Amino acid sequence: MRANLTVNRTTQFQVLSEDQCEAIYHNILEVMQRTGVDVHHEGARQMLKEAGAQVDGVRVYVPPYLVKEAISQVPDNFIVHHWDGSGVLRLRRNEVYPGTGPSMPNYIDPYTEERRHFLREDSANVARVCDALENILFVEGLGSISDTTRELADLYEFVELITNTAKPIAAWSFDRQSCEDIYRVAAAMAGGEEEFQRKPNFMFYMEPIPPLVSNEETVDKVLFCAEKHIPAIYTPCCMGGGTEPATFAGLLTNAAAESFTGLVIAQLQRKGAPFIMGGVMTVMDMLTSTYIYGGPELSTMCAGITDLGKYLDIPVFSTGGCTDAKVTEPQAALENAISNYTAVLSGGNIIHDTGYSESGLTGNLFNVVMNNEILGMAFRIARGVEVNEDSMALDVIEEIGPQGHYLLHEHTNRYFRTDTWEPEMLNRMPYEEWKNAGGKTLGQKVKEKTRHLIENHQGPSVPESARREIEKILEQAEERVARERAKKGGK
Amino acid sequence: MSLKRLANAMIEGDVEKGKEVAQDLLEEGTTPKEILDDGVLAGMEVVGERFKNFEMYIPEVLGSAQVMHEVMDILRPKLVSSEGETSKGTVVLGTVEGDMHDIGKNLVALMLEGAGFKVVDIGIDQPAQSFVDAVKKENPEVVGMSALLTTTAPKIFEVIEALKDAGLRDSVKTMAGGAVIDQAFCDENGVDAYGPSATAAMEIAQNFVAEVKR
Repeated sequence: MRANLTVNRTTQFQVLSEDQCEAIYHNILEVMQRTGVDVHHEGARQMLKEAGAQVDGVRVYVPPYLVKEAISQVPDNFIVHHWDGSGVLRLRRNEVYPGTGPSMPNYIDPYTEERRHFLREDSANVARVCDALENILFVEGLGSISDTTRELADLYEFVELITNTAKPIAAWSFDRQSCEDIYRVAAAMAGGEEEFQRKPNFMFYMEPIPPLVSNEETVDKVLFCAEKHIPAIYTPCCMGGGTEPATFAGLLTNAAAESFTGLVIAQLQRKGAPFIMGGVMTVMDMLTSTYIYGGPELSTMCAGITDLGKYLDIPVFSTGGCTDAKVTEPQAALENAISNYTAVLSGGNIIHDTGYSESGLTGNLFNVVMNNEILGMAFRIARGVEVNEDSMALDVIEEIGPQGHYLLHEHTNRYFRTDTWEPEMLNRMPYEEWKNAGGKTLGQKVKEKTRHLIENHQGPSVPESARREIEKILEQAEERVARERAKKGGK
Repeated sequence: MSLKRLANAMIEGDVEKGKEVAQDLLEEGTTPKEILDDGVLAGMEVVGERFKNFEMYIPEVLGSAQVMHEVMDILRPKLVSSEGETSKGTVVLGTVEGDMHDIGKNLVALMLEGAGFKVVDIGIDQPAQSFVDAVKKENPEVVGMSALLTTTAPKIFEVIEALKDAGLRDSVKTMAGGAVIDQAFCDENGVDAYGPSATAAMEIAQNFVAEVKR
């Protein structure tokens, strides 16, 4: 019997201590009460007022008890389902799910490698490739579709994504109307609204605006999500030195206050509404004004907000796998690796933005495929060192002794596959063999694998009834837009 | 020598020093026009050059622009009217309807002001009609539109259409910027120029005004 044993079941990684989390938490409460937040939504302001907040114009001063109440009501643990029942995401402390990022205007064409606008068929390809990658566990579309009815780009994207992979989608939309249409599509895939309520199959992404503003459309969406029990990701895009304090702790304070505005509204709308705080935190590049996606600041602060979320037991939307590099080159590999590695180790729940390139302006499917390999390494490191009687292998060491080898031992055979991570594309061949096999770099292999998956991987098969239902939803949406356009008299 | 000190105050972004030196210069009998040309504008020229060469950061440049504004407040009443006309042109700026993102537009405004433009900032979340109204009222050379989001970028098109409907499209040059805007978007939506950064926006405005004056 070994008494008082402490075990690191996995690798430990922490940016903020409990005391630091507590200090920041108290400051968030102070900001929300003393500085206040702007809520550009009359209905939500009314709700907040009735619940005890002080309202002055659009400014809302939120008393700490409202925030604490919301934190006590938000589920610390909920499930998002694959629509075909093939898997689940368990949103709870330290359960890590990496995935792609949303809605960039440009895309690197996987064949010509030109930077061009994003098309509807790209959404389908992104979803199918993500479907095939074992470490990409939820999907965002990587681009905004440019070749459908402009007002319905969000809806078409969701349709392409959800019909080409069963992995949960994190959706976005222009407004509440599209959000409702997307929900109808998701319900059709679930087999009806009731089934969706039991097994929600997507999450919804929305952004408040730093510093400390929640705009009308965003609040509309979070209210709708709360009503329909859709997990809401309420996440600001923070830019230290620009729209937020330049210091990490100051930025985290404001960012959380922005998220918590949505949290309080969601819980007032419906107690226990599933909610994920976020999310993307970085600094402004003071030479170019670029929103830096590949810097160490992003990883440090995303790990910080994750610690805060864990401290308060609220699921966290984190960021990794992104880069400022324009194409798939060493800068992309380096930034993708460090950011995904840090996000995984810190234990963020929904780690988005794999495939984000050019500082959030270009979707890059090659980088998604490369990140799949990076995530494999990160997961292995996160697993840490298993220390038990068998893994310490005292008897085996005694048996082999000095000068022997372990290659033929049964213990090696039992463990080498599970304890060793096997890369798919990283090269470890001797020089001559590598040269004779074509001398391919990682970049070349990534491109080949991407094209292979686009051409060969089939997603799940979609039930005919769901397809028909979706066609109907799209038709109705097109009719609605045509009517609205006619009313405006414009194009 | 004091003119040089004023230029240095601009470069250092030291408002107090800038105001003090400007007052001293006036008391010593330096003409306001000299102070403007050889102090203020000379300093800003160095700032612009250094920023372009990545030797100064954005907050420092904005600090310099702030010194310029404060010193101009002292000089303006003392300048002969024609000399006081320091404006390089007028730019109407706004973030389009549905978009509440402020900082990109503000950065452009600050850079333009730093370069001597009169900037009429109509604010965030502005419908197309507000742009039209501002153009009627201010008679600017340039209209700048900002949109950060995929969801709001199409509103830029509405501004262009509204300017056409009001018969104002040919009286102004238009430029657009923001994270999701690019050259192709501007081409497709009839926007004259795309500004990938605040500095670029400033240069576009300078070129537009030069064209108009030619």
